[in-house]
Amino acid sequence: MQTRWASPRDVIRSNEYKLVKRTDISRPTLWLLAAAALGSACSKSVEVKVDFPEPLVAPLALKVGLRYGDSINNYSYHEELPVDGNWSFELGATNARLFDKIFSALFEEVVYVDATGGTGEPYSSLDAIIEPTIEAFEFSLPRQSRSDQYSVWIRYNLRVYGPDGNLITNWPVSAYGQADSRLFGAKEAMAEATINAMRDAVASIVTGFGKEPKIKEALLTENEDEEL
Amino acid sequence: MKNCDALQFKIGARSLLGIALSTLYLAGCMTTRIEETKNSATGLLAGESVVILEASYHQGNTTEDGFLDCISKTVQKGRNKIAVYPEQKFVDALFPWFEPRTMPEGPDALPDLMRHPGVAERLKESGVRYIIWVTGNTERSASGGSLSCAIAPGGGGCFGLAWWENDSSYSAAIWDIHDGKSAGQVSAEVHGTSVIPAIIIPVPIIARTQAAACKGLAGELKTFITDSGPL
Repeated sequence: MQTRWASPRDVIRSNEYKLVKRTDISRPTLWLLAAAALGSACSKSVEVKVDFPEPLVAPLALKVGLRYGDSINNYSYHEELPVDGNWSFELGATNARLFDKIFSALFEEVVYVDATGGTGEPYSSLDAIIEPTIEAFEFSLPRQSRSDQYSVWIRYNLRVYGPDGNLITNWPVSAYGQADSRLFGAKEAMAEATINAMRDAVASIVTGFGKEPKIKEALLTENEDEEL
Repeated sequence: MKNCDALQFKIGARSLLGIALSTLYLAGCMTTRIEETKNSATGLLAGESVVILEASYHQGNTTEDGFLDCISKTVQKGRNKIAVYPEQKFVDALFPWFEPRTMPEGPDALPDLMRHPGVAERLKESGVRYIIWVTGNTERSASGGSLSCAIAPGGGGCFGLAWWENDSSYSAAIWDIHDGKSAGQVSAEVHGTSVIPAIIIPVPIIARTQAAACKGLAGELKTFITDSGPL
């Protein structure tokens, strides 16, 4: 059965504003209501605390030193948006846990080091030292992207050094995550998008480590790079 | 399949008010189309299950999380119900091989995936026989009309008519892990028109296209999996 609608314009043209009347809400009350609405919309703090699953990957026969700077141990990001208020992200030590999970699965042995190279122990027994950093953090809201998604981009950089401190390569790793705004509140969706971006970084590193040309040349044998 | 509730506009205001008070909302007009393509015989043994995953957003897929939840819940109920392995548990157990960046793009990629250490074992442990990849979304295809509401000390009310059309288009590709190939595909397309006429009280007549697509797709998936078919 097919329904043909009458043109709504015909119905509305003469009557649209008939019921619109001036209300008696006082001006101070209106200001208070507006201030309350603005206050709740102005500031959003996204806290990301999560444990990542163990990556399912065969470890490479490498002993690697890990050096975490402040951006990995205690990362926070703040941005003031003209219309959408202040957004702050507290990632704390979540990135450190992320890289612990990646590298302890990816390498046979990992140790924590204070410098990017040196002589004597532990440096003399290491194959490489990796220093991850966060180079950039960006996000977008559904209103900005005209979609239903909260999105997060994180650009990591992995500096890979030889045990003597010579830089082997700077490996930029771009990660993206998104979360559906219809299933979560704004803060929860943004936290989910951030976690998804961090998981994306794991996927990039696990699948790309053996393919990065300078890493491949300096650290891996032919068989090892094929395993990843 | 077509399910249309005709709306009579020439009814009086009193009748409309009566309808508004007696119903929270009415169902709008919807047209549903379900299609199935089966490549091989299917079936689930005791202890076997399916996992329902959203295709990657890295490839532009925008399936709503809520739709996936709906499909997952619906296929586990009623006649021909099937066991569903929890999506997050599956993705975590095989981390990071089912992340949006790394997930296999077609059944041809399954043998390569199995070569990664531990993947075949984890899949076997999970008891998952079929991976169901859901793609698609719900979009508003048209809208119009105007609805004005006002409130005053003596009362309030609305007047006008607003309408919109939604298109829900979803498909589910079913991969048989045992055979390492595509078992087939099921798709659901639902077109619906929603309308809110208002004379003092608005009467929403909503076409819930996404819910209809979920019901249609889930029902067809249950039949697809449990009915081994003529093949």
